[in-house]
Amino acid sequence: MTSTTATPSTTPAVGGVQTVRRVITYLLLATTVIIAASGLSGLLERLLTVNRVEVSFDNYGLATSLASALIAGPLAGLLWWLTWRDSAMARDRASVIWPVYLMLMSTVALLVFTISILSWAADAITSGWDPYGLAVGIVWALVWLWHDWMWRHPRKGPTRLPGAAPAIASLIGLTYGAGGLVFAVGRLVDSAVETVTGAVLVSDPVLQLVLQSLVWAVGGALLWWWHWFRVGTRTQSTGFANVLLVFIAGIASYAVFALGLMLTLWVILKLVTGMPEPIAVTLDPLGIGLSSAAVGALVLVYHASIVAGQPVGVRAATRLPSGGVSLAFAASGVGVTVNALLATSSNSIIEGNIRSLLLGGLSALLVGGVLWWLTWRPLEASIPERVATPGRRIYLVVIFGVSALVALITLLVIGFQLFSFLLDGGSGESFIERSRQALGLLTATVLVAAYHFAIWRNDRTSDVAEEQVRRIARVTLVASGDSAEIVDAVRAATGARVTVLQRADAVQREPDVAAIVAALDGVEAAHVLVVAGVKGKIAVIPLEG
Amino acid sequence: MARRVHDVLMTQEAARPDRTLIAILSIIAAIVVIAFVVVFTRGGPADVDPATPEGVVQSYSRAMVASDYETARGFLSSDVLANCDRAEPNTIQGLRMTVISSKVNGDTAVVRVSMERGSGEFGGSGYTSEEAFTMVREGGLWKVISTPWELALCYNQGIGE
Repeated sequence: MTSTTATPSTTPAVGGVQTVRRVITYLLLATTVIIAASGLSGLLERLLTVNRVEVSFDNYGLATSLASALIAGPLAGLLWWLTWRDSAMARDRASVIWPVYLMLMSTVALLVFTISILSWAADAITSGWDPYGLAVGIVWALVWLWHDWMWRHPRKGPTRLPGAAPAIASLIGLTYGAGGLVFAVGRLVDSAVETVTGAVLVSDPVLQLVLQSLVWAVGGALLWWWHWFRVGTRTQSTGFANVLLVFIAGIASYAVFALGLMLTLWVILKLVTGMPEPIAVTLDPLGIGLSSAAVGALVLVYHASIVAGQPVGVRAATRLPSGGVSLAFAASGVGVTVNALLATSSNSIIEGNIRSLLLGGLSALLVGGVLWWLTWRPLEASIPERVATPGRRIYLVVIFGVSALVALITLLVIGFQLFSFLLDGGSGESFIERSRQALGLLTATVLVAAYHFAIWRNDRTSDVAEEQVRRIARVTLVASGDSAEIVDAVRAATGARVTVLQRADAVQREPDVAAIVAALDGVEAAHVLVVAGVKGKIAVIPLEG
Repeated sequence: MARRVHDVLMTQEAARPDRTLIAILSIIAAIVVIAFVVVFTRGGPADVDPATPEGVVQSYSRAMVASDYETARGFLSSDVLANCDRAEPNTIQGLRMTVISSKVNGDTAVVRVSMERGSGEFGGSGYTSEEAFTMVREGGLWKVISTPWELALCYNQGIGE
């Protein structure tokens, strides 16, 4: 499924009163489908449990299910028929509300269906086969299949937001898969640790707990595999797929990996310094730490290999948030370290566990600092190629924004504590004691902002040109044959959204990629029509709007 | 010539973030070293004079945290002990207690403390609240009448303030 070439012409749908009608229709459709599905699953649940002994028959519940299914069901059918008719779809297909409805509804259906089926399967391991819990899963699986079929319908499926619903589904699958694996591996490590420390008195069998997590891992992996490979989210280069890739490779898997490393390092530091606490307490985060680090690394490495094959914009957009995530870890580490330092200044009569706090801060600082050093590479932060990285200014502005927000909140907390201390007339210690967390975070924020301000000032004075300016917003390309290469090149050169109109006739000696990119050089328009003609001729026509 | 001047300017400008970076890294290193040394070289909290109300609060709370209920009983007032309805023991981990104020009114005293629980993780998950101990002087010694509920040995002393 190469989305760009498959995208049909996107004539915007008629707006005005039609937009209001669409919003209301799809809202009603969504509501009736949800009510009908809940009614049907209630009825199916009763059907699956007919041979159970009923102590009291729940008439209210049955009445609710019957009303939901028999009233909302036909209404949903009617509404669906009204929207799905050829004449209605001809008007609504290009509207953005149609894919938004399908995306929301299929995501909700997928979540309900997978969560109920997977938790039913995980429970079946302990409590045995019991069809009672299956009803919700079956009904919502059908709702999901129905919406998935509409999404992929060749004549009536939406023309906007290509690939959005499968991309979300693949993310859900990946989350279940990685989460299940983290818990399964973590449980195994924990049980290995527990056999050494011998601290557990009562527990379910380890194998059973691991199997329950593995049910989620396998279910999630199947869901992910289907959408990622079979439906083809992996090969898509739509905006939605790119955002998804940046989120997974640049933020989510990176954060899980860093968190795992940090927890593991924390345990190691506590073991090395000999905490005066029970060994079982010290080793408690080890399982989840090791498994998060391992699974995070697995997901990260796989997606990094995909990012490597993407255009430079996506690569930079992945690297910058990774730097941001590591920076957040390092900064909170500094904050916690300052917090622990301030905790020693007040004369507490019972001390708590300042060492453990300090070691937590140090491990966050070490892991975040090393990862930040590797992703941001501060020694060459101001070389011209780096200054010209797309998105660098956005990254700096985001850092300033987050710093300002954290500074505002911490200053408010410090101010509140200061005034309440002054008005309250407490002892001298209690002000620092009460506001040390905020003071720690404020210190870290000031350091972060100071460094990035220096970078910002340096960027301004360097003679590297402003970031590549987008001169063209949309390109409509008329070409024959496989034009994927041209699309990628035009997108890389101009940053524009590219739509392809396929010619019916085959063209002899179509112009090559470089010629088309060169022809677009210097053109400035919101929308440009490019016709790749016979014998290398290229027509570039700026359009209005 | 102009080109060389330009190059020199560029080098200076490029050096600026490096200087900032070095300054910030030194600040962080200083914080880390000082925090490490201070946290790991100091002993536990200083012992407060057990003849003062704060001293009694410290000794009593330490005994409760260590689940040493016999010692803790020794700090309760005779009135509370006579009517003691034993509370379920709490396991208290990572408790941090700081005195906010201590007021003596003749034969009674109120010690206000700030209590932070579960501060073992990363500083954000701790839960802090202000609590109070009330005391009475019995035979020249301060004895506990009421405590925060986590540290109560008897139900009838459990209500602090």
